[in-house]
Amino acid sequence: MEASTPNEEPVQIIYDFKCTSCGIDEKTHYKGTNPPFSRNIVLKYPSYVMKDPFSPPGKGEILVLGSDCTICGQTVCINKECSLFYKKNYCLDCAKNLIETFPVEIKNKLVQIKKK
Amino acid sequence: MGRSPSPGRSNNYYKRRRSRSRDRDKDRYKVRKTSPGSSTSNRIEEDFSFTYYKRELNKIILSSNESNTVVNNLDDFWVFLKKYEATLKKAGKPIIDYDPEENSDESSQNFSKFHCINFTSSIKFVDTACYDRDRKKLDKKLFQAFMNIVSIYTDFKNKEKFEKLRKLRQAQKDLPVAKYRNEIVSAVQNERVVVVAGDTGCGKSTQVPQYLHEAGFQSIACTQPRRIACVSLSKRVAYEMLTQFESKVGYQIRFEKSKTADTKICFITEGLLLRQMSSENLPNYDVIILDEVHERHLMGDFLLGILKCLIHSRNDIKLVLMSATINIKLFEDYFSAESAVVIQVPGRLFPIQLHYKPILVEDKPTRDDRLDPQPYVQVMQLIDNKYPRDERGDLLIFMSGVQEITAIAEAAQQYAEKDKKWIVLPLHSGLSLAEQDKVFDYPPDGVRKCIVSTNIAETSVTIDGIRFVVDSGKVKEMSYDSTSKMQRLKEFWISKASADQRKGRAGRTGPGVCYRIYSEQQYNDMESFSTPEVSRVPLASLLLLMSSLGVSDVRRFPFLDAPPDDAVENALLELKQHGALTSNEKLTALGRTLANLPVEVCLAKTLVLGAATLPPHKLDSALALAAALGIRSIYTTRAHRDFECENARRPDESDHGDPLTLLSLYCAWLREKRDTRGGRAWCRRRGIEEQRLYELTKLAAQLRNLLQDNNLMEAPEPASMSSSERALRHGQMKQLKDARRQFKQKAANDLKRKKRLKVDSWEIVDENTNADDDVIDIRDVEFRMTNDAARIQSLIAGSSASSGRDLVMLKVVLCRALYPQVAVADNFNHHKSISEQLYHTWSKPFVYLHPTSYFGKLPRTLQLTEADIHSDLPVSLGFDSKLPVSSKHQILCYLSLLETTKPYIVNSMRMPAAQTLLLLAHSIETNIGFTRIVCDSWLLLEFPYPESGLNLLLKAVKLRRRWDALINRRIADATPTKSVESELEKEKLPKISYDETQHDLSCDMSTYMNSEVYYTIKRLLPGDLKVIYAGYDEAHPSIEPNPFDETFVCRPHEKKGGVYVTDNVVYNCVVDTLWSAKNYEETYSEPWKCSNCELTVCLSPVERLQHTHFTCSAKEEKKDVEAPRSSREIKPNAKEYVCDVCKVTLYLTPVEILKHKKGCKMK
Repeated sequence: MEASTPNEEPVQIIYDFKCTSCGIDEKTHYKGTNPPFSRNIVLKYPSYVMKDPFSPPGKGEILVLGSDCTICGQTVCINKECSLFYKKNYCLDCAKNLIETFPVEIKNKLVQIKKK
Repeated sequence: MGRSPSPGRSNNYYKRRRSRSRDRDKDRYKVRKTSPGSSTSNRIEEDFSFTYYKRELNKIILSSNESNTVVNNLDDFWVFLKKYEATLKKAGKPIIDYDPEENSDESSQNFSKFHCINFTSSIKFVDTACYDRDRKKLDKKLFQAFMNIVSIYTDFKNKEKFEKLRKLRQAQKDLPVAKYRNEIVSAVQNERVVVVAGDTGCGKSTQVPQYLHEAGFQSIACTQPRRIACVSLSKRVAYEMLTQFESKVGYQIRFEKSKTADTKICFITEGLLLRQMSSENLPNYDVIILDEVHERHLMGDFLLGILKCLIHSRNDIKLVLMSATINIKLFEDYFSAESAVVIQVPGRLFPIQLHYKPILVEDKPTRDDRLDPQPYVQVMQLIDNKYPRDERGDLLIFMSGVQEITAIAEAAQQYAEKDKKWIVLPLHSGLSLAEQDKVFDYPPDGVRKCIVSTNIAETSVTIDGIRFVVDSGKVKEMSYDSTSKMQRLKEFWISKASADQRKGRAGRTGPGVCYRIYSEQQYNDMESFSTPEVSRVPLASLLLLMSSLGVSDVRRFPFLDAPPDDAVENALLELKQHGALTSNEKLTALGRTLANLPVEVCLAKTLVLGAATLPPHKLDSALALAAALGIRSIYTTRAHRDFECENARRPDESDHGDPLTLLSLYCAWLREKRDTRGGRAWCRRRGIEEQRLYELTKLAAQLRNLLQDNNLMEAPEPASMSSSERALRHGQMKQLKDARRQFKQKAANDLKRKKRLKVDSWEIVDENTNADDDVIDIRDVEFRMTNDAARIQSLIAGSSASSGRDLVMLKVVLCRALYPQVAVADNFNHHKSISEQLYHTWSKPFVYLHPTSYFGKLPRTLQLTEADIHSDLPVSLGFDSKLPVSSKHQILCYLSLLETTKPYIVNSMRMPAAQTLLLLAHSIETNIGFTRIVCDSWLLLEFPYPESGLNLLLKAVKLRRRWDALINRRIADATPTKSVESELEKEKLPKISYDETQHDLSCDMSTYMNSEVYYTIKRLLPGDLKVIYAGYDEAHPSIEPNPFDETFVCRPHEKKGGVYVTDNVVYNCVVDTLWSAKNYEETYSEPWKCSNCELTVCLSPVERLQHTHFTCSAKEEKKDVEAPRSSREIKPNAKEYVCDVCKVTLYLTPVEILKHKKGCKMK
């Protein structure tokens, strides 16, 4: 069980994560695409990752909270009212600006969210 | 075979997704109808499914030797996969869906659902070499398609968890207290004392500690009046801080702690924090939060006083009081000197309609004062008529006590029988935990819960979903009469604060209705606030704790509400009687030791006496006994009603009384634990709550540790186990840990699944509990983890005291600890029925035996039989009393008095009367011939045979002295003295081992207790007391040398006459009656012949003693005295002394001076 988590480093770097859209504010343990505490999950886009707070330590479970928008660099969470993921992560504002560049499925999705 | 999917029908995808929230409960995976289909879908086999490869895929996933979301939830994953495939199939889309070729097209126009997912899995494909002819081989490509589903699953799980987190944060933000966060934090940073007042549900208990921690406070203690709240709050706060698997948030309660060096927030019981104050190393708290201060518990009130003093000496500690919005002024005023800041947080209460007397009932008193359940049932009817069935909302009825609850629950149940719209659930602390937990379960649709509860549901237990409250306006509360030392359980009207609290319970989840069975006038007549506990409970333990904390004058302690003066005085008197305080109210060594043991004073004393008196291998009996008397009753409500339970317990009952029955049942349970797995069925058969026995074991173990910490018990040597034993134990532990893990997992799963109540679950409790014998009994597992077979065996051996000297010693120890709590039978009990047996105690005459106690059921055990009465008394003795003369008189020694319907003696044990009284009474007075002896100005013993009283008294005095010496030595050894000299002194003195002293004492004690002496026993009334003493007489006979205690200098008693011959015995102050005068005359006018020497002369009883003790044995004794003296060093308290007989200057201690004097005179 313990195999997957290397023993905690004495100094743990904490990445503050705060969604600029909804304001959720958490401390995360990692930012990037290869979270060290779960080696066979790889992310396509660098994100803020915390060790899953809802499962016991050493289980290798992670919780991805969100990432920086690829266009404007604002931090946004994965909630669909805050961000859009399509190959990369976009904050909703940037996604709307770029709406024409997305395939039709994503366009529709954005329109749906806009309506709300 | 599917290839890159083509766009289309994506609208559908989102629509369905949205529908998710609605039917999520039914089928949360249905919603993952993702993916637009591929036009080539029909090329794949129609019935393809990855489940065909489940075995191989599992193998690959697991062989990766990494832990991740899929591995941890493999079963869940396959469920997901099945549903996912089904959805695809229904939509006519391919199941095998490959990744879009990453580099084939950089333009984002080519849509793939996988592009929407951030996760990829890096699990490597391994060829499983499992080839099935009928199927497509599981190749790398197929595996990749499978991995895509894994990614979808991971993404799905991540979203689920994120949603959980988001909701949690949202809920925290929505709490009323959240708006006051900054105000609270800055107040605590800037002020000494802050009062946060907010009603239940405002979130103060969970949020304030977090706010302070996030504001930078590093060590926060948060007190709770209840142990259970400490545990649940620490779990909740840890969860909210996302540290449920760390120890940043911990708790500390009497039996357990989860606090570590990392702990920043610690939930702790009030009592425990108090004890931390007494130990010199108070943990370095920077904030102490006192929660629920409005409940006004004894410990909470006391803690407030202590902290009020503490913050003056410790500038670095901040104090936060949290209370409901009850009587805030009281706290504000109390801390006015410290300029407390009050922050009021409005509660989150929905509007509540209030109805007084909803049902018109005539106020005519019903037959024999019985409670009329009609109004309550009619309210149920009213609810049924007025509110549609599909509107949810449960009913909570507040009743005063268990009997009332049963009455109402039965009536309500009858009403519910009709159309099964109600589930009736009683709730009180006497129920088992499983039964209590039922109130949290959910009723089926269209059915309401009707919870009939004591005031436990007022603050302690919060049940969600209550819409209706019925308030009887009554509460049963314990009060304490310090003069008669009796607790009373009586029904009172509640206070306004309490009534409002009850009403508030209806408006926690939505608008509610409160029905008050009483009138508005009655409400207006109620007291504003309930009586604080400090005015209703025995204070001895508290005052002792105060003394040990260094409170110099307990009468001047700054209590929030001072307890009644006489309660304080009586408690102080009690402590003096126990020897915990000196006559000028200084803490004694015994007192200090007692204060360190967190049980009632008399139980603590049982432990200390036990530690001094009982041999180490029998000490467990005293520990188990004290623990058994210290916990709540082990019996269920069924125990004394069900004939079969009574029968099943009978073999283990002890005819010595309740304490020993408890001990014997406990041993029987331990044997059951040793011989079989379980014990649950064993307990159920006997009507015993097994949980209490586990508590008993834990408490006994904790007391044992405390005794060891206080040097009253030797720490056990680490048990030497052979390697095979160790291996066995290791295997056991592994098994037990597995079982515990399984249980925890199951409990976690159960928590997710909402428990549904069945409409008629009320009646089939027993059948249900039988069924759960197969499931893991977690308490049994934990019991076995802390107690291995050897430990259980030694507990059995150590705790059993069924006969012989062990039993006598244990009884005497307990009796001494409880003294003067003894009772004598009324003279007319012979003619009365079982329920009318009357007893008289020192503090209160006319009390009954509790009907559930051993003697309450079998009072004849205490009565003299014809054979016991000594009727052929020689006429020559002239004894003229009508009272029965016997050697078998017994008295009861009891733990407490409790008044419910009648005043009752609770937990009693029988003891031989004269022996016990002469050994333990605080004051013993005799006539000149030792034929009439008065004990504690309360009981008169008359011994018709001359010399028999004297001999017994003499034995008692000597035993008492030896015993006292043993106890004092034990306590002195346990309390290391500061001065090195006295330590050295101690080592030089030749010491007889404890074992030997204890053994000798127990032999003599046992002979003494069984000695056959004929006497009568009579309770003295105030009138008798006026005439029984001779009164002060200048010319008291001087007794020199003193045969009772050579070192004791006799002095006259100033009121009663006579002289003290020991601290407890006054000689010759009791007047003689006709027979005793004649008896004396006749006995002592005869010449007396000494059995040792040839002397024959007329001597008084005391003179005879003096002769045998000093004159006759003087020759041998002189040598004994002289010989060691020369070799002995000069003691620190020695003075220069010039003997006026032998004219020698000596350095002697006062005791030695007396010995010397005596020796000189003899010459």
